[in-house]
Amino acid sequence: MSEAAIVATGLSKAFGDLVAVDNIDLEVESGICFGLLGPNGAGKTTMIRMLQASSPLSGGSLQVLGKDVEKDGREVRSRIGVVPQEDNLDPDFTAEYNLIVYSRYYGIGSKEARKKAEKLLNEVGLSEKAGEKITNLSGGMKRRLIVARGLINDPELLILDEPTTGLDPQARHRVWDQIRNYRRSGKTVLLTTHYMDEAELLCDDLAIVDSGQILVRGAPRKLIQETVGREAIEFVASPFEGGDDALDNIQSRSKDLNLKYSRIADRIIVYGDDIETLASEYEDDNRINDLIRRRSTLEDVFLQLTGRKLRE
Amino acid sequence: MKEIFGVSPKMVAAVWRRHADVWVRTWKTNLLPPLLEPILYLLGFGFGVGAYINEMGGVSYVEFIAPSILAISMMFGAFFEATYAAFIRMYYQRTWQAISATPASAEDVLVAELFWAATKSAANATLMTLAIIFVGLIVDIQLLSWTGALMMPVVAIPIGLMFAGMGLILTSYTPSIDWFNIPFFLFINPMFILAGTFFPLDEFPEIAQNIALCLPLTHAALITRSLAYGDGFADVLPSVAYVAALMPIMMYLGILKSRKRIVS
Repeated sequence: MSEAAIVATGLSKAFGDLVAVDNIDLEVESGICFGLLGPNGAGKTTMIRMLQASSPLSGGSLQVLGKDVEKDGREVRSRIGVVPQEDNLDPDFTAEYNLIVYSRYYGIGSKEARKKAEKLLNEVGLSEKAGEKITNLSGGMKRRLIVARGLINDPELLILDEPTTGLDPQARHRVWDQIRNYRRSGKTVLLTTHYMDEAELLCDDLAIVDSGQILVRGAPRKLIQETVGREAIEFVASPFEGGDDALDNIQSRSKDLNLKYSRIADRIIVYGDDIETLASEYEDDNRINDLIRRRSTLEDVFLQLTGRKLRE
Repeated sequence: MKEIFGVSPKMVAAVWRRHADVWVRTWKTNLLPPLLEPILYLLGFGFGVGAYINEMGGVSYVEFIAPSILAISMMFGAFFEATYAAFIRMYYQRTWQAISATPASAEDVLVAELFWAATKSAANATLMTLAIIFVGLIVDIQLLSWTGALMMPVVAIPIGLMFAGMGLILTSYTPSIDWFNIPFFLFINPMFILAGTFFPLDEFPEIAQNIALCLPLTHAALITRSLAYGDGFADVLPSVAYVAALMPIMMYLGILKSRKRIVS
């Protein structure tokens, strides 16, 4: 059995009165892609900062690759790669030189650094841009370069903080490919995201966090099955008279049938493994504009959990 | 990896090299100010204003201000680097944060900032010394003693570290880059004029003299003046002690305060 990549026990972080991470217990096994999901301000970035030993713990303990981050921060950082949310490349250097300068902090010699930079630039499809200044790169290229930079020390654990936020679909796919390639070599990935499709696609295991706490944890399909069931139906209300009444009806029917639902704006989404009966009742109702049958997604899990939290 | 008080010299060197690399990449614009500024001052004040002044502090006005502008350039070199330039790296480019995600720690990053600022101070001192010697050759006046000229880059390092520490303290508090105008106008600019740089301190009333003697630039200028005149350190030991005492205190506080902007 391989040893866990990350072990957090009673992990807490407070900034004054604000509790960013609230007594979290978490174990992430080696060799998987683990996702931390949650809305902005849920405590994801704070957790990452603690993992790289840039943020002192307020309570609990945190081990990364078998090392205590508080005692062996430098060693932990030498064995992980961090891809931050923000663009913090050196604007005065070229793409290639950014990697070479960064490799010095890992004690990599200049000859080897040049070789590594060349290989990584090739892997992320930036070989042609090696001599280009950072300011001349597109957002997607910068992101790929930051991922390449995070891999300069052949890390055992790669941590990515919202790696695809703000990217166009093509650039997103390229970053996903980079993550998958790295993951295929048997190493561990931890990524935060608020894109549910991204998490469903990449993660073997994940935790949904909000207000510094883990709401739920498990493999994506299992979480979907357990939280909302396989199927989902969206009832879209007609904008004319009676639309809202129909949604109210469906809501109370769902309650009677013990089905889970999320009500958002002009629609209600009902979840469950057997929701056809309910659907058939409203199939021909003209107060309902549209009736969309689909597979449940992590987004539904997320809405259920964070939505319920808001109601509480 | 050997560490001194939790600071790794190897990492400090790697971060210092990054700053030096940036500087080298933009060398054309970086060389110009420290070479041209002293020539302007010597021409404008030394020879222009100096034409109406027989002597100041026992020497010609041009000889009087040559060491002053050296001390001023050491101060500006370090202080500017530890305030505006450091703030750009910390806040806009997020360089501090990028580096502290590697084996280099926040302390390594900040120690490297201080030494880089001191390097700028020494580089300014060297370029200015050359420019002053050059002007001196043209007008056939020896503006700096040879020993003094050799010592300028050396004393620029402790003087630079002292001002760099002060700069980092300000950087740790500043909410925005414009805020640096306040210490520059209230502290640096008055010091620039009043620290015995453009006229000797004994022209002042006694109380003003005592105030001036508390200012760091006053002591930096006393040291460069003594060296420029070829008198060594013997007559300025109190100033040497002042710099030697203030330098480590400012460095320590600068690191302590700025650390909170990386690690929190």
